[in-house]
Amino acid sequence: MGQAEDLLAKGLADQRAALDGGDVSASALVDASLARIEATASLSAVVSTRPDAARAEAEAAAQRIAEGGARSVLDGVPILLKDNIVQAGEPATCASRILENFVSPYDATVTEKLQAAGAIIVGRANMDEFAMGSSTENTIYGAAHNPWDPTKACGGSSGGSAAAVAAGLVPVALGSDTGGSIRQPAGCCGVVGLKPTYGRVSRWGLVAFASSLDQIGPFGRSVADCAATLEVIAGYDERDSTSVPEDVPKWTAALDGEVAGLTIGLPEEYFVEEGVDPGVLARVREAIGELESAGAKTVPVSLPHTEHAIATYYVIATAEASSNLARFDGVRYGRRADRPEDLQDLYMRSRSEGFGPEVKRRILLGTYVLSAGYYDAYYGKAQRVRTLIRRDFDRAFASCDLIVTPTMPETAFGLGEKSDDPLSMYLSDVYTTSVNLAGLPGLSMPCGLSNGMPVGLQLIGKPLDEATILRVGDAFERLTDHHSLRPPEGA
Amino acid sequence: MSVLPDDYEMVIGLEVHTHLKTASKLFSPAPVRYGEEPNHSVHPIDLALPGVLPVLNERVVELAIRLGLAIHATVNEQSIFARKNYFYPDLPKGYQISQFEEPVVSDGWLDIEVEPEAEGGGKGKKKKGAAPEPVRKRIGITRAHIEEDAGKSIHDVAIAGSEDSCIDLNRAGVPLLEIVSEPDLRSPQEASAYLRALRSILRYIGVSDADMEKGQFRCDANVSIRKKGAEFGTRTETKNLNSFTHVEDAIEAEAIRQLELIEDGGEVVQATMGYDPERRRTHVQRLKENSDDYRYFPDPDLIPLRIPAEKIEAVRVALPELPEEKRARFESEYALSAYDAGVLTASRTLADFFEETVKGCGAPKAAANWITRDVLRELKERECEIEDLALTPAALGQLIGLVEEGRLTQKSAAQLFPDLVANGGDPEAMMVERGLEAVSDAGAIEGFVDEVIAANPDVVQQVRDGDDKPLNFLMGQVMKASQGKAEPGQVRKALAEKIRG
Repeated sequence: MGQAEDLLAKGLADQRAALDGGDVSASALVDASLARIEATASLSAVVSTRPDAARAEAEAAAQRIAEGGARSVLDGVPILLKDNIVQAGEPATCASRILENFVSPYDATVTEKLQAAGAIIVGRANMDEFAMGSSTENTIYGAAHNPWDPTKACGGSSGGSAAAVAAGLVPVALGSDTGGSIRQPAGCCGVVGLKPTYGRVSRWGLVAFASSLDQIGPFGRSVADCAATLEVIAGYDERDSTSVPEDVPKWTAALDGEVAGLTIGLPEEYFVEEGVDPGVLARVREAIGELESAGAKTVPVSLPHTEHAIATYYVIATAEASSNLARFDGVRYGRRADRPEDLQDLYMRSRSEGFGPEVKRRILLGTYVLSAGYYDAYYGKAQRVRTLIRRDFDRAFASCDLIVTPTMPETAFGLGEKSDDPLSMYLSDVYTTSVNLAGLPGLSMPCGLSNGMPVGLQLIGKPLDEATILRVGDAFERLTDHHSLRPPEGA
Repeated sequence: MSVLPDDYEMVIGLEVHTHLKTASKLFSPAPVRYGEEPNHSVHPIDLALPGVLPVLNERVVELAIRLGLAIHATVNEQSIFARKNYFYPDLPKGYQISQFEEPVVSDGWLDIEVEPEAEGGGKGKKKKGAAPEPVRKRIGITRAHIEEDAGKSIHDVAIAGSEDSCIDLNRAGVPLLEIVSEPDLRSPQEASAYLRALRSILRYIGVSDADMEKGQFRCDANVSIRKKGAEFGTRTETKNLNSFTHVEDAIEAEAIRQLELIEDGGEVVQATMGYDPERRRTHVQRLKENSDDYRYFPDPDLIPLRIPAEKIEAVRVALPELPEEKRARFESEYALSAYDAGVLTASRTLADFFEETVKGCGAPKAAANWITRDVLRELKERECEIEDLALTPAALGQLIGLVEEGRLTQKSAAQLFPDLVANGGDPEAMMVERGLEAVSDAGAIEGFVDEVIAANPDVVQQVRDGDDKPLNFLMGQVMKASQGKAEPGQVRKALAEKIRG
């Protein structure tokens, strides 16, 4: 057991070697993961597990592997899904009262792909309700705690997935990123998180928050593990009209440690001192220095519409959310008000009881910005600014291969610290939302500590160019050992 | 012509919702079936389960292009799917996917025929020859857009089994085209002529079965009235008219209601109206100022629909002959009257039946007569469609052929016809079996003629004296003697020769 538990905290390559070499069985690894999940229940990182099914699947995987027929790098490896990615026969609550009793009858595309690759889905990770939040505090399961310091939040909305990987419950977990919901918690928890290009991973089976921004992506303890997992889950899917009809490159094969000759763009708007933790800026500058010493060049670039990104994001995301969440009406599934008087009462009470305050706030905001008379001033204008933001990046990428910024202006904040101040909570996404608005790939990885908490380094790539940010991220890991820092024991 | 005073006129625009003839739904793989058990033709997409996404049925695009071409419209290179947001239990997503600012088809027209001076009710039988030539009128079509149908809410206690309402989602997601006309129609009769013409086109080009009884062809009527030559008046929209009669009656009722309002010194306010067919009255359902704000916005789950010019061309090449074209061809190719050509091309199945019949007999005029007169009468009496008859066009063609060859008299043919309609069969075999073959043997006919001349010397003398009238009487006697089997042309000839030498 000890061996399996140790192995859990290592990367996919080590696990593959141990599983294929017969040192540890898939069953032992899955058992160890389930035991770790139970032992760290106080983190509230995981909201449900499927021990029986996971063990049965692990046994089948163990047999395949023993016969030398491992299906993929993930065969026999335990993994967690964020609670907004559906799996047939399993709950998918989105951490919401309104879906508390919902069990999905069908699989998400990523679920199918993971299972086809032999990955063992052990359970589901905590999140902000319907992915709305930056702290994983808006959840019916209780706030998730940061493994580095349980008094701190682990970021959000995919906080449970980030915390689970940081605490060694699973080597890899899936999250979703609408405005930073993978990168920001990855930064808070000191793990690697990748938001692929919009359309790279199918959204079929991802419960929608904001359809034009949502994207599924992996968390891992290394860039290589994220690259390997992305290879499994990416690809065109005819069930998602917005998925990109592009082949899936072999990203892992391009991780050669080379950064010489690459040009890194440093957007001046992201390196302002005001409102930014000096420790964060210092770590990010050190990281850039490391890459320069390895042969990368840096150039200043400008993303002039950055200051409008948060406002634009909150108009578009809430508008789409107000419509996407209309289906939760108490009629067909999910929570239904007890003994409604009439139709109006059924709607009002089911939704009032079912949704938490942040979700309600965003539905109201989104309904407002789409209303007759306000559409042009808000939604219409936000779409035009979105185009400008996208053009900013196009222009910047004319002079660089990737862009490097902090993931967030500070390290993980205290639980409860921002709960009563939605605006300051929204501002923690200031460096990440533009990437979603522009549909670009973005990676967050650890680049050291500030006051004992991890600092996130964000690498932003050109559309469909995950390859470059993965290569540079992997090279950075070879140059430093920030990614091997682990949370202090006793979490 | 109108129920309004002479100086007033109606201004009518129609919105038609027509179900498209596809195997599966607009955005889900669930089959489109009518009369299925409730909620048996649904997919997770139709139920709006968390995480599902719509995928456009490509067949719908082809059908939309067909319609666009058939109504001489622009098929837009790009159109956008938008969400129309409102809450209702039979609308699972809480929004309907439709097209709003950029529809797939815009700026088309179709021609209708209106009788220039139809009397009041206009229900009397047409007197042939006296009928005035119909006038053609061009009706503009503003746009046609793709959208999904909603499910059905069933509030009937007898069906629901309690005071609860039931939801059937079989219809949810069925593809529709909404076809919006310009306000070019001026009477209830024009409105129904437009609907018939549109329905005929939809069926011809295989876009929709447009069966009103199955709810596949539904109509909303925008109606206003004005003094002739004045600006448009305020209009109302009467919803969910599901038969031609209802459309005509509702428009008339609504125009009268508006006239009464105006004559009483009131004014028409913009509203959604309902129509009560039993009382033949319209009533206000909802005032415009209380209408929903649908918060339309482009559906982020769907990419813009782009239709390349080559695709439009491919559909154009494969487009079946349209009613107008067919009618013109029938007039020129078969030398039919405009009236017969119009009747025979009213539906594609009838037109096909005619052409098959002509193939069997080579006599288009006779075939047109048989079909417009006898076949249509049978359809009317039996209240059925032509494909429901046991009579095949091959059999009818053969029957007509026998008459044309002189082997069967018109009278005997008429005797065989009901049986062919009811049970089908081979006309020639039936003729032989029943001994109905025409007597064309000169000797036999002469025998009958001699008999009749001998029996009617007075009449024969009248003819000899130069009076032709009694000839018909003698003809009748000969036919009677031959039991209707003598070929009339030969009888006439033989009589004339025998009497006048």
